[in-house]
Amino acid sequence: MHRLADIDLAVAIAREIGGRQQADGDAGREQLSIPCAVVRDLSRIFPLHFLHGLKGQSIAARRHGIPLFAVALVGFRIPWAAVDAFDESGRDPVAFNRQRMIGVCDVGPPTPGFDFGPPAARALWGALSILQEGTRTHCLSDDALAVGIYSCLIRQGGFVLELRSVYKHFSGIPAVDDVSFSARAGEVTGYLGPNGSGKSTTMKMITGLIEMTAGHILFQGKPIQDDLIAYKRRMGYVPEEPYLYNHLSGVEYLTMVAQLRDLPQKQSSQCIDGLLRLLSLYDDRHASISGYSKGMRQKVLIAAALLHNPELILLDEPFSGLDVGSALVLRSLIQELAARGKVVLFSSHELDTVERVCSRVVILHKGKIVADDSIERLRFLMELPTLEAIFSQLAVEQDTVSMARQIADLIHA
Amino acid sequence: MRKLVELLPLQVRILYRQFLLRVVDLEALSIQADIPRFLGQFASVLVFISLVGAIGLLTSETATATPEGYLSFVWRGEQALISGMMLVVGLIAVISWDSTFPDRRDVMVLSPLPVAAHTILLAKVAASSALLGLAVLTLNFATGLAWPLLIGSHHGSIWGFFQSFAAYWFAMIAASIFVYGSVLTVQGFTALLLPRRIFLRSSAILQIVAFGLVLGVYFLQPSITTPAAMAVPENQWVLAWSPSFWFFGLFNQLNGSLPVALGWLARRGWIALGVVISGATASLLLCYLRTMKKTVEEPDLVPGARGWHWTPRVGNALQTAIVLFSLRSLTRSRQHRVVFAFYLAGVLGFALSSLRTALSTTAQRPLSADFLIATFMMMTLAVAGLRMVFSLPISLTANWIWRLTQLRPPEKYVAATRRSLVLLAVIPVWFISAMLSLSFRPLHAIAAHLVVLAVVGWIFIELSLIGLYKVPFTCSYLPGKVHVQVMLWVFLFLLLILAMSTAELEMPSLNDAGRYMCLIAILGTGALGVLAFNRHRAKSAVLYFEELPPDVITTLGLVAVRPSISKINMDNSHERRDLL
Repeated sequence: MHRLADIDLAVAIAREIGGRQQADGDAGREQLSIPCAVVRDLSRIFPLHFLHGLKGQSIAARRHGIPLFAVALVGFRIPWAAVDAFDESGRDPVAFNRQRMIGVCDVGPPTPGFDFGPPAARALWGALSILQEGTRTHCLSDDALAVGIYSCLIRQGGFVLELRSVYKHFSGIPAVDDVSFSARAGEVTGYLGPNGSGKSTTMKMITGLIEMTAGHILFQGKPIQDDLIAYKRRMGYVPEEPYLYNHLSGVEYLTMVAQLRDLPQKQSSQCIDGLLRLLSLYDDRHASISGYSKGMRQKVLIAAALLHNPELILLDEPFSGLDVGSALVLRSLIQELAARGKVVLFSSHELDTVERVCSRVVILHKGKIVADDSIERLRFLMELPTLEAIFSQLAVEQDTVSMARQIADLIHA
Repeated sequence: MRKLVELLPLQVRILYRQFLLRVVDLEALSIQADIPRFLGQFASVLVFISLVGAIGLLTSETATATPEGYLSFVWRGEQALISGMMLVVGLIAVISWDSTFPDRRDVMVLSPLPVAAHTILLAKVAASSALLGLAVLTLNFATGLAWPLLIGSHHGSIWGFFQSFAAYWFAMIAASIFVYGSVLTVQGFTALLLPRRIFLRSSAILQIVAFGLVLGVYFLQPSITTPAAMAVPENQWVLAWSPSFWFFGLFNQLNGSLPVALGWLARRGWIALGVVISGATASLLLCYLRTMKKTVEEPDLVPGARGWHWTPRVGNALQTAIVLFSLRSLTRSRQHRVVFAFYLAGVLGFALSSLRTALSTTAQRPLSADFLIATFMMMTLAVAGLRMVFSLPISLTANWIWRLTQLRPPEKYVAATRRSLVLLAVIPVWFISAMLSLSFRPLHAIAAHLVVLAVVGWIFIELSLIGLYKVPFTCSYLPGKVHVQVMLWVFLFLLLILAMSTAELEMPSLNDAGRYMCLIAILGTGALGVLAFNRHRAKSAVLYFEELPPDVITTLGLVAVRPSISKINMDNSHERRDLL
């Protein structure tokens, strides 16, 4: 049963979305207003299916001037149905997945007895239900609705970070080749790939440290280059290698970062002390970083990245060098940060951790995206039990056992 | 030298080359990691100094007509040559600080390999000796021949020349070994006696102390050039405790020209040499036998000093960050300390010379042009040295944090760099100058000069900031761009002329209010002009972290009609494919 307040909100949203069907694209999009918490709650409740995007060269999206768009999948068995349909048409779901045409819209009724949790989720669900009834359709592939929801998500923090056809060439050699994906608030997006696949290059482009050869990187719907300084204020980055100034102590480094970020002195020094205590660095805070272990350096980087409470957190191999205890803390921290509405883009080679932490993964191979989906769906699509198996199939070309044997033979010779 | 090196075992030769690279500290000197080239440049500078010295000695002999005059001339020359040699070797010892002892990197890299400790020791000693040998040889290249010729000719026989020649070179080598060995002994026993974590912390302090000591002794010790002056009771303390006089005695003893009354000086020289050689050998052996294992066992993580850690605010957050970063880089990085020490040596030299003059008399003197020149030189050397050191990166890989946190326009960074120069160069030099000027009178002239000095410092800062759109210690530099050895002499020559001209202009104006105001107005206008120019340029500047080499390919611009790839709407995949 919907509560009255939820129904009111649902009706309001339905009106907004319905209004979008008649209004011109941009003007209608501006009127759409759903509290940020709605989207965040939704993405937490429906991490696998709801809000899952259909990406591709959609005619509808092009008509509305949005090259990448999302269609809400409201039913819970939809992906299965979609894949079955493709199977029937003779298409290989894995190959299809590689083309990044992952989802198809269809609408079924909600699972009986499903607890929708927070009111916001119920409200949006209600809105969509009303809309369905109103249009007497079981298909939500309506262009206007898709664009409406997409724009709502963009504006309210749903798709916060978006890469559109990003390229990076080094001396003509492509390192990143037509990479497009999005990362949403409240979600941990895993960014995987073998060594040299272009992960760190992508990360550096997202931070603004290196320029892309072509493409667009958007944050909250705006190209990051439009106001790079404002963007940097909202972003925290843990780089792949723990490069720090060795002649400074841990506390000196963090204080310098706080000063460079223009954080209030009192507040930042309290925050630094707190972070150093929680990360077990407090006793060595005045020691030179040159003496720090790799794990301690990694903790300094993590503290520096979180010091200013960023909205976007880019983690490039954050578990490198951390001991088991610290790694467990970091894993929980990443989930907690996502739960608090941060956008977390997380690159790692530790697939077990990725499987536990990430709600979605983007797999890169030779600079190109070969998969972009939830882990559960990838498992289902590829009929493989673990992320490791999926990763091996998509991104590892060598016969690892044979290669190991060759190495052993070589040193024996 | 190459043939000598080839006599060493293969492992020693390989390690010798690696260690020589680190003794020289190529990165700090920017010479494209080319050891022979660097050593060639280093040798040529010392040869040049030696040639100038030899010419000076040979041409000044004519002024020594009387036996007393001749003796005074010879003793002054010998003392200058020996103390000069000790200064150069002392500075080399400071520059190559810690390089003869195994550090943690050596131990961690070489211990797992089948390399014996004595092989590492031999390679280290060979590398240090190569540099030291080169310095001794080249610095005495001309004087080592001219001086024995000069004094040998008074013996009237060829034997006299050979005796002087042998005495000269032995005394020079002994003095060099004494200085270098003293540094090794102190370092070695400090490493042995102190816990490693405390040693790591105290080593940098010891280096600074050694630097000050070497310069202080050179500039403060008097020249005692007559037997009568040697016998004066007030000079006995200096003679007894200043090593250059011991080796002066040693040289004259070997040359057969030492008065019997001064035999104790030569004895001190021999004893000192013996003690230092034994001490250095023992400390080196003990370090390699004992400390190498200790180095692996003991962590390098030095706990921070307990107590108060004060972080002063020196402006806004960015200015504080950059000033403190600069100060810490300067004081904690060996490379930067060494390069800055080169300029600081000049500053301290002028300061100590002024101090020596001030100490030599109790009476208050009128302000002299020499003092004005000395203060100008100190100021400009300090600013130029700091500006030079700012250009040397401390860790290029760690610079990403500056790029990531670049939240303010470039002019704010330039302002912060300006503040660093003011706080780390101008204010300390100004303060030292003020202290040194206390022995002069009248006070109003001193105050007036200190104002001029401050404005001159400001002008130099603004001049050094032209085109400097980078954070200190962060930007890479093009190897080979900074030809220190050539540029330095040109710079010093021009600087001296400039300082003399400024002093000449200033001196009469100190007692003439009208002229003084005019001078201040001109200097102030100049400073404001450069400041305005810098501020204007900084507004449109882009902060850079990497110096790029100039294009070697001339672009004809014939492809300008084609739009750049980044400007094209990449949504159109067909167009993109065509372009790529």
